[in-house]
Amino acid sequence: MIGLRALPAVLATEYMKLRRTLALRMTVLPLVVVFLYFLLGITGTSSLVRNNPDVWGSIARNSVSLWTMLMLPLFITLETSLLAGLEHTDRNWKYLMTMPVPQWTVYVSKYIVTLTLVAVAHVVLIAGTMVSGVLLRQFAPELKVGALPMAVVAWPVLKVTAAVLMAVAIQHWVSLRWPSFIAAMGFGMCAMVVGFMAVNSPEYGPWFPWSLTLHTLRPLPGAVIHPAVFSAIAAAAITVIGAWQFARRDVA
Amino acid sequence: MANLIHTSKLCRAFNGQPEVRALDLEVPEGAVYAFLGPNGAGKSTSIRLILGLIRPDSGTINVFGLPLATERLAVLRRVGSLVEMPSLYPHLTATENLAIPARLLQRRGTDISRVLETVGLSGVGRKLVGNFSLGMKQRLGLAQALLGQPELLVLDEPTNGLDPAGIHEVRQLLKSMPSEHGVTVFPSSHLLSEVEQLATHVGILSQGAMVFQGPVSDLAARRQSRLRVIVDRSANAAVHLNARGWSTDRQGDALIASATAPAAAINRSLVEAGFDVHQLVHEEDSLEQMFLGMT
Repeated sequence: MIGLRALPAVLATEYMKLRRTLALRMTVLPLVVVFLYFLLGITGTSSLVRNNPDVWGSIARNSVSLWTMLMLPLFITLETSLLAGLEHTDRNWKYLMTMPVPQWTVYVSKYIVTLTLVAVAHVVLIAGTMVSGVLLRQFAPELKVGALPMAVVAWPVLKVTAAVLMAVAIQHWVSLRWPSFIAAMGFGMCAMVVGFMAVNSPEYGPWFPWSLTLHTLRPLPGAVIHPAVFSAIAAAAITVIGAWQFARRDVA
Repeated sequence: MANLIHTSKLCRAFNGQPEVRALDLEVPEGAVYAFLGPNGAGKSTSIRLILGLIRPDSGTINVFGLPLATERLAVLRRVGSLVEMPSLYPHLTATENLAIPARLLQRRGTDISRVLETVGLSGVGRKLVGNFSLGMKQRLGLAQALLGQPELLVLDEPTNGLDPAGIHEVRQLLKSMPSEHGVTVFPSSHLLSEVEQLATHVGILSQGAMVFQGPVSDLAARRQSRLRVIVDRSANAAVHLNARGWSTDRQGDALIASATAPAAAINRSLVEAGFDVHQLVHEEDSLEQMFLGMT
């Protein structure tokens, strides 16, 4: 197996490793957000639902915003750290790297697996929000929840998925580069905080990787590059450089 | 016999400290080549160099006649390895752990059953590895190494964590590899006694440099022998023998003479002079003593 031909097999083994892991179980995390807004709706205590002509739209937009702002940065930090931890624990690299496959395929496969987990979480978010709307319509008819506006949920989530590619690529590199779980988590937390601060900056908001997702939902006037497109291009470049470096490093 | 592994002037340093110095390693095909040295001698670093896990500062590595620097994948396809502790995923079962390399090595499920049986783990294939004992994990690590039906087995301290019965089984398994499967075996150990019963060749490493390399018979031929005489009043006995031209060294109650010294004549002389000779024996260095002396 040479180069690209080895990639499907390596990728398949990375998916095999997910079985019974916390990383896989965490993909249902968006249900926390969904449940929170369902509770607000069903109890009717929030201004979000009281006297609101577009209850469903408000719940959907707020679910996506809360996930993107607060939970997604934590999610990608945890996922990349947990996936890297599978190999850092017991120094599993030293066996994996004696397999007759190009080392870069291991790096790229792990990145693809992380993106898959993000995608699964986002499918859960979309599906959960839809189900929540259906249940509200059934059990709280006074809210006058209208038809399910798929586009209000799905399109922003799709853009957020693209916009997070760059942050995942950087966090992936950090998690594989240093074996310490704390270091990777610390890096992710710091990046998230800086992302909050940078998001309103016209200079840095459209460029800072951890601000891109928020910027996708609330674009600043004058931004010349679409955050999702910029993120995808940058993520590809970072992954190529990361894989190149990964293939050349010593395995301790 | 062609050399399956051949390194030339191999050097590697970490943080300016040389770990492997000008290593010329020659592992013949079909051998069980025991790679020996005390802890910190550079065995694991050498093994990691041979497996391409780290790159040399200088020197060359050829495996199966192929340069590792440019033919890494072609070489690794024919090598099974176990470096230090086995690399396993505790949240997966033994079978699932083996299914991962099986996929990368393009092996079938029957190969997984085969290697589990070989290492005596066929009954626990569905058990989570997190619940395994150290010895079971070591066996599973060996199963990983055997999975690809390799032509060369590189094993770093393969009997680590095994109980005496397990050590015996692994020894028998490794010993049978060249004759039954045509596999060359390259195990490392810091104890000669662990591998001397199965090795055909020995390489002894000290402070990153090779101090002996060759067939075990060559090492045995270097053994030093001596005549040990245990006698009463050993100080007087030594003077008595030295006066008759038999040079001896005194070690407590024992006198040590050259191995070529005439044992019968020495015995007769001592007895006739009134000394009580309790023991008179030809001694030879054990391989372990030679190993310790070299390192």
